[in-house]
Amino acid sequence: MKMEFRPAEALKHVATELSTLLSAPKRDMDRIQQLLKELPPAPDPDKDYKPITTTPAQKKNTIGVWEKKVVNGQVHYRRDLSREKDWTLWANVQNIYPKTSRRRVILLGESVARGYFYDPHYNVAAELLSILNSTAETKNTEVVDLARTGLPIEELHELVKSCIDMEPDLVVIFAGNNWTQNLPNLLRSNKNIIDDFRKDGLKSVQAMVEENFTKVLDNFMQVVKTSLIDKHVPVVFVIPEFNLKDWRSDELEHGLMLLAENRPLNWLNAKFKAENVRRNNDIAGMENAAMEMIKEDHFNPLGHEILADTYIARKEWKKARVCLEYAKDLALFRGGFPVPRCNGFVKKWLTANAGKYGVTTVDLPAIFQELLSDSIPDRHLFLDYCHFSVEGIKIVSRYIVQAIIEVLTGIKKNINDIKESDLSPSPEVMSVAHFAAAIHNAHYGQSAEIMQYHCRKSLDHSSSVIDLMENFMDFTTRRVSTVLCKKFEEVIIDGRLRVYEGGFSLTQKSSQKLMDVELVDILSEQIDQLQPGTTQKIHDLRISEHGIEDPPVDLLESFYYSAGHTRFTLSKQCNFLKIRSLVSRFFFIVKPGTKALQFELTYRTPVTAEDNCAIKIYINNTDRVFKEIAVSKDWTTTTFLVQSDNTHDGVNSLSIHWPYAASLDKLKRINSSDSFIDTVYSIFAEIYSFSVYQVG
Amino acid sequence: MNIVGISAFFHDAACCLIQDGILKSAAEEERFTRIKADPSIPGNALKYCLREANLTIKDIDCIAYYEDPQKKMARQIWSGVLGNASNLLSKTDPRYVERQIREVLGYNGLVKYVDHHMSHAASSFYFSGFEEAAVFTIDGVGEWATTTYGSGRGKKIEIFEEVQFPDSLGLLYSTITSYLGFGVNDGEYKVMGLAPYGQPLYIDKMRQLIQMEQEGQFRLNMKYFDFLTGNTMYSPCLFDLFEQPVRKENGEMTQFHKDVAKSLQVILEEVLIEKSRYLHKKTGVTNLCLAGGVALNCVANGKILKNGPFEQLFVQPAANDAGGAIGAAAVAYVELTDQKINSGKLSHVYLGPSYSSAEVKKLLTAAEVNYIDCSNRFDLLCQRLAKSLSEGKVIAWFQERMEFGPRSLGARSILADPRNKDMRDRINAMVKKREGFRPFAPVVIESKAADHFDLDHPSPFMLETCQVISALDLPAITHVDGSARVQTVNQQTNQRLYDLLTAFEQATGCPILLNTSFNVKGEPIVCTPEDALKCFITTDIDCLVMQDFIIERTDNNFEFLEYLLMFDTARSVQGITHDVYTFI
Repeated sequence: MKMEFRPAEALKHVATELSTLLSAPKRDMDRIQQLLKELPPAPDPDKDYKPITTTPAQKKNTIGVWEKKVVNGQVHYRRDLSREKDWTLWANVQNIYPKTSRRRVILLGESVARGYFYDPHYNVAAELLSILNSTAETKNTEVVDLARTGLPIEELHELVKSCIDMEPDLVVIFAGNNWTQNLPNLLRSNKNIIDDFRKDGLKSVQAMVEENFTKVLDNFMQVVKTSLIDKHVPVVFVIPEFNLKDWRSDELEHGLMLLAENRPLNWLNAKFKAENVRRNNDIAGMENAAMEMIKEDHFNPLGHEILADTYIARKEWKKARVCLEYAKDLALFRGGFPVPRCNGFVKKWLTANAGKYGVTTVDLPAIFQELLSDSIPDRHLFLDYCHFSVEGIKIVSRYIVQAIIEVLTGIKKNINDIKESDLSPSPEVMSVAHFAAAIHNAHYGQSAEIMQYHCRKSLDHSSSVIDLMENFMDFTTRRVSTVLCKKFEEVIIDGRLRVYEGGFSLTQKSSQKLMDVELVDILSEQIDQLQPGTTQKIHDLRISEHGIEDPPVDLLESFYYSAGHTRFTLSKQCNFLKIRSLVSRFFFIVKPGTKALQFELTYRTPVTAEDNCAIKIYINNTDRVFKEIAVSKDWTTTTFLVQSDNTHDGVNSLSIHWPYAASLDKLKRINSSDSFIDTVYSIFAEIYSFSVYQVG
Repeated sequence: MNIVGISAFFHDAACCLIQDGILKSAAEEERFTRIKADPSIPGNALKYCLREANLTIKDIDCIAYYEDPQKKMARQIWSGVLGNASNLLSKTDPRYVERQIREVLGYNGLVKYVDHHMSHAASSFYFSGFEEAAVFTIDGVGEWATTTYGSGRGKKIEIFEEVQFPDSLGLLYSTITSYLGFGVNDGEYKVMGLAPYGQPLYIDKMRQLIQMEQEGQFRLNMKYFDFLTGNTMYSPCLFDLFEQPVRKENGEMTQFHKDVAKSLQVILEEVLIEKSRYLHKKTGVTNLCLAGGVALNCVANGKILKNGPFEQLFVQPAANDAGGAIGAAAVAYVELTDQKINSGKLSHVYLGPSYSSAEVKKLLTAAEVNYIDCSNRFDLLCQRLAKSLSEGKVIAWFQERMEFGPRSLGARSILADPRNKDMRDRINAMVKKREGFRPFAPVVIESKAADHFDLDHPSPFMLETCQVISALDLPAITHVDGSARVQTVNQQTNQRLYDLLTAFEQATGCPILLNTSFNVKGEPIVCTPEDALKCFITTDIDCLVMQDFIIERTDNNFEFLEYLLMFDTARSVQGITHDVYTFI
């Protein structure tokens, strides 16, 4: 029988004193320890009591989104209606039939295995199926496609364990790009990380990460071994490749780090130098500047990327590859959720260790290095960072088949004897794929040049994509959450953008929407050439949706300051904007007839007046400083009037150039967050509010 | 003088702004994040308050927090909720609240901590309009106190006695709520609604749970409770006492459950009346101010006024922890200026954000929704709606500034004809998906209230129940015991709803409408036009009225949009666990 439990009244004064001492700026640890001894052990809840509240839901017998159904004594897997929301992440297959006399290959993997941007019209599974059945050694084979877009490693574990129920003869696992997605959480949760960082900078952090990855990889391979290899199901593991040449770190990823002495300033100067000499096509100058950047901050990807550009210019492909692979891995430590990529450490570990578990690997980076003796992977092989173009899928699939044959027969067939399939997506599918790629590149901080490339490719393949582009431009420009925009509904009903996570990856809440100014400008200009009037239509819509009147427009809304979805995810959500680049760019939309605009900015900076520098404001990318305002470590509000002769109707931009001073570590005083990232990566300013309204 | 008040980190986080002694704005964080009962620091609500007053963070003179973290930690240490001595040092973070205010809200200025129950007391007394009053606060727990007795005079509030944790009327009520299969913190209201269906057959058993003591004191028998240490509110002894296991959520509702609810309600009323007599004796004043979560029990409030010694009663409409933000800010204002709060008697709680007709129109245009534009023709809008309502239509009503507090009071409401005997079931089926036994509330023109309800004073906040005495048959808002939870409306505080009620009276002779909150089960009340449209689309409500626009379901096909909303990640989630209060 449970007795009445309540702590002794007499202990209240102990608790009160303890609380006071614990709250004091300087803790009296002797007295605290003395008081702690007076506390009784924590009350022991009734261990044998189980609350009777709800019956736990019975776990469904599913693999992926397919639920096991026994029909006439045979096991079918049918798509589970209760998981309809996830269907577009998986193969568009309603029923996975019982195994027949055909050899069954199961494909597991992430979006790269899904055929992202082409699926369901064309994908890796279809290409494999076709090649396997047209190759003598592997005729009469079926491919069960269990690849899933955005597959986390935990779910891959589950699939590896459960797919045995489908009686595979061989399993292909094409994964590794998503395995770094937990890195931000790892950095955030590691309490010793700041101490590690102080010891040996990011090198220590990298070592910690690699140690963690070793456990993750070993654990995964153990699961593969016990679930498949030990049950005599061979496994081919495909190590992904990255779009080394055309996917570059974004502003967030090459932000300035907190380094000792003058190194950040030196790095910045070298960066400015590199930018200047690049304009003159001075390759040697670029190389020197890049070397300097690397010397000052070895862990910043930008220096390595610039150095790679010099090697590319000189056609020194191997050197370029080394630099870009290094830069790709460094982007993982820059504070955001990096776009998927297979870390170099993971690749190295897999090539060295997979065999020990009985797993055969297809090392795509090695394959492409050999194949592209006079180039490195770029936009021809990839549509974005890791998702292959049709050309890429066809190459990769041949090598996977080569490995399958070798595993099944013990013979390594010459790759030239393995022919790609005749499958080819229609021009309409190709067109939509490039359009989706343009959006994806834009949303993850890539250059206007690559957006233009994909937009142009899209329209070159088929102009039928124009209505889709117009709908996109419409709903992305509107203030309303995407899901409520009629044009988005039309896109979903249309169905062509199913290739882009069912189109649902485009949904954004009103508070997170981007106006996509750069992308929409590129799209409308290109469409205008085929269909005049598009640019004007967008111009009018922007003015009606975002045109500045009175009351004020909040320029901190994502429409006006965000160009992409990359976020500094590690730092806490807070009520003000933390500026982590030296230039902040805002868009504002001017209505016709506007005489003047009043801006009001509340900000603070880590640098103070004694640093002898100022904040400079520019309007519409002119070289003329429109206004200088003082730095201030306390929240300061400044207002300034912009007359109409400085602006034009429609989209305008305002850039704030924040000063850098060597004493940036003062920042700790205004932002004492214990987050690793906030401590390590510089904040140049914080903006509490920034608004604009029409006057006169 | 700009004072921000904040409540957070337990449940119902909220923020308010008192500017020069006037309450300007207040909102719960859940309305912005769409996380039900969101306990996180109310950053969005603060942004709203600043924007509403055209201020920025540097204009704030003080942030007042609704409890004292140090005192709270002392209680947590004592109760053992932070663990034993060995891990206490690592588990305590005494500066957590301040760090959140500095780092998340970006505030560098003065932070004041106001005791939890003082915050509740101030939220009621300073806004009651009384020059002097007894002040009675009752909730689950604050720092140490669970119930306090005090008095207010002018700008001074004095608390002279408190009942300390774990003896708590709020936790007693929540424990039985949980035992009856409802969620803690949001199911207490259901128990109150269930009570009239039962008989007080378990009074004697209830008396074993709580024992009355001298003066303001009472004591729980902790062998029946497990909220100090366990994963549930109750201990297994409670099953032995009632000889019945816990009712499962959505399980069968038997007469036993109704009788337990009734017994609990009777005990609560007994305790409150007895203790209010004690408070009256100690203070000798005729006015009573109530606050704290238990003060949301409008049935008990009515009994206190009717059967107790006080002549006038004021209940803070946001009596729960959200209202603590207002009280904390008010205390800080009085301390810093030595002046009274200027608001007088709180006449309304339309303190949240509003959205212009232009903004609504942008939404409807983007969504290509068919609508009727009644700009500058609000009389026609009301006439049209009155007709629809009289024909049995259910209307979602979104107008002007959102209410602060847990009740919809005609700014974010669902409205219907109270004379329709099928209306309760209809609304439950089409939108609320809630327990059929729960009554809906009426909203009535203030000047006509006495003709239909046994009510001799305005009731703008739906915090009292009274008997229905109307000549009209009002089955949709009359509870099984003939009572109703009335809200009265006048032109000064809600012109638009007043106009609609007037139009409905002209059309039907009935100046009353059924009024329930504009949300679906498990989600916060809608805040923005987008929330309203989404809620409308995913329910079967006949008509949505937003500002000057009428959207008829029959004029639109939302079938595909409803499907799309299934993918909307912005839909609501629960912010707190419902099995037990977390005392951390």
